[in-house]
Amino acid sequence: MSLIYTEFIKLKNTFALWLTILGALFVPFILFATYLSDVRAFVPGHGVNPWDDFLVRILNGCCFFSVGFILLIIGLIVHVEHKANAWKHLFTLPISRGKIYLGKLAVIFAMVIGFFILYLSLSVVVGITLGYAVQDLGFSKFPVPGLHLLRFVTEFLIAILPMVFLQFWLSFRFRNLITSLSIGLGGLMIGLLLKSWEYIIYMPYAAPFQMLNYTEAYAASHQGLNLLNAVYTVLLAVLSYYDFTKRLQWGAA
Amino acid sequence: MIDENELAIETSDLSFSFSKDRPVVSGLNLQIPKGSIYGFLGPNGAGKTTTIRLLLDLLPANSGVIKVFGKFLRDQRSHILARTGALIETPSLYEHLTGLDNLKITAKLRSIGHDGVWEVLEMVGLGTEAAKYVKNYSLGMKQRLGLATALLSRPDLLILDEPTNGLDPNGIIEIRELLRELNVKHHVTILVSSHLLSEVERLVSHVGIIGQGKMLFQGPLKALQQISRDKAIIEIDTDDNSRALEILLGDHQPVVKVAQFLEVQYVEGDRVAQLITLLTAAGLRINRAQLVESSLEETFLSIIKDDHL
Repeated sequence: MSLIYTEFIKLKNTFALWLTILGALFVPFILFATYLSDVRAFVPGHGVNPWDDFLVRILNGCCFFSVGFILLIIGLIVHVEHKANAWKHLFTLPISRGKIYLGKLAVIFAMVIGFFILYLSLSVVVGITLGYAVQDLGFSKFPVPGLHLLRFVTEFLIAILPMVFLQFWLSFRFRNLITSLSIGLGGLMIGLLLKSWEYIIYMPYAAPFQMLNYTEAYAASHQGLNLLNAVYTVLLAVLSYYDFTKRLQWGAA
Repeated sequence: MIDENELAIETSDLSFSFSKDRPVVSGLNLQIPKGSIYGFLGPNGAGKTTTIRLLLDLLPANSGVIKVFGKFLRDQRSHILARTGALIETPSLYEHLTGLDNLKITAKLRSIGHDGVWEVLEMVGLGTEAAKYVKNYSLGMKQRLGLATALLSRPDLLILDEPTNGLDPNGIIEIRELLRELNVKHHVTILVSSHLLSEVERLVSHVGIIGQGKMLFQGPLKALQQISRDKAIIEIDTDDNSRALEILLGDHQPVVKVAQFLEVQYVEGDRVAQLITLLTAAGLRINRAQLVESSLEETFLSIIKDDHL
């Protein structure tokens, strides 16, 4: 626990913390402003649940924007050590390298999960606020689709796991934040541009875009993809752990 | 040969290379006695920092064995590192945090309480600067904070790679005093590397000189001083140096060089007076008789130079 606590001390006064909050605010705020700026365009027909349309926007926003923020958050968390030239210090402490790897990873996951909780909570708050502010939008007439959101975020997290491990690996491999970030963002662009190509699913960075226009039927139709993501996750976790603990010559850095 | 139980650090045939054709450390046998202040000297690129990184398990040795406090580093890494404090080149500091936060991080990881943090801050003279962000520290203050981090665990062994880098003369003296105090009062064994003998000469009890990854000299400082003394010569110039040479050789004096003047090896305290008496008694006029001593620094440089030749 002390290892994770110290990881959070290191994030004090860093952009990583602000990025988690501001990144999570970004899409909900834009949607809030968009709905208010042109209310008539968003008034649903009689009996139509406005949450359905709202969620498609929120979840697609998650697929498009959140991954970029996540790459940046991972990069910044690891870059704290590169910038302070601190790896050599950490490895001269009586703590195993494996624990240091897991501590860093735990903080990354805490921030990523925190990001999603904040993003989706704010989205729901925006929907509810819109419902109260403008009755015609109809949000207050229907319950919040919490289960749908929970199902999405669970599947989305599973889908991006390989990408998180790969980006973490790149971030500690490359001292320069720009290098690892460029590779990640390049991967995302390729994943988006070629999202309809049948083999793109084998590229970890493409996974978020396979979840665009998420529906309840997604899970059933993407069992194979989930299996592939699980295999990738295990493979990348093992390889990055091995590289971090056994191969990297920290003294040379 | 020192008893192995009396050694804080011992390496046997330690070798390391980044690539096959470029060995950085080659067959190094370090012997650092417990309770000593060991000056690890050598020119830039000699392999000092790499050796230190091997001792701290930051790099894997290609071959050889490292023992610290009689235990194999390979087998008892955590136990050894728990008793060791280290400062390698530039200190590892999070500049966006305060000095206090920086120490808290290491303290937490070493299970050291709040009191311990303030104790080392006071020890290095940063008590009043603890709340300042490290980005606002001077180079000297950063070096002190790095040293404070190394001292947090109250180590039995302190490994410092060029610890006076960036310090002004006063700072160097203060650090030297602090290290001496740690050694004398708390019996901490200290390994301090430097490329300048003059920097550590007044601090160390033992010296190891490394060149091109190989140990060129190792032993007590006194042994190095003895070598330095052995290199002292007496230069003599008379009105007839040829005759002076005959007289000196006839008296079995160790004449080492004959040029514009004579050079005689200096052996004992009153040798200059003896030679003057001998030559003036033979009717020669002494123009100049001078004892030329080799400084410790010159001896150090000559050891390194011999290696480069």
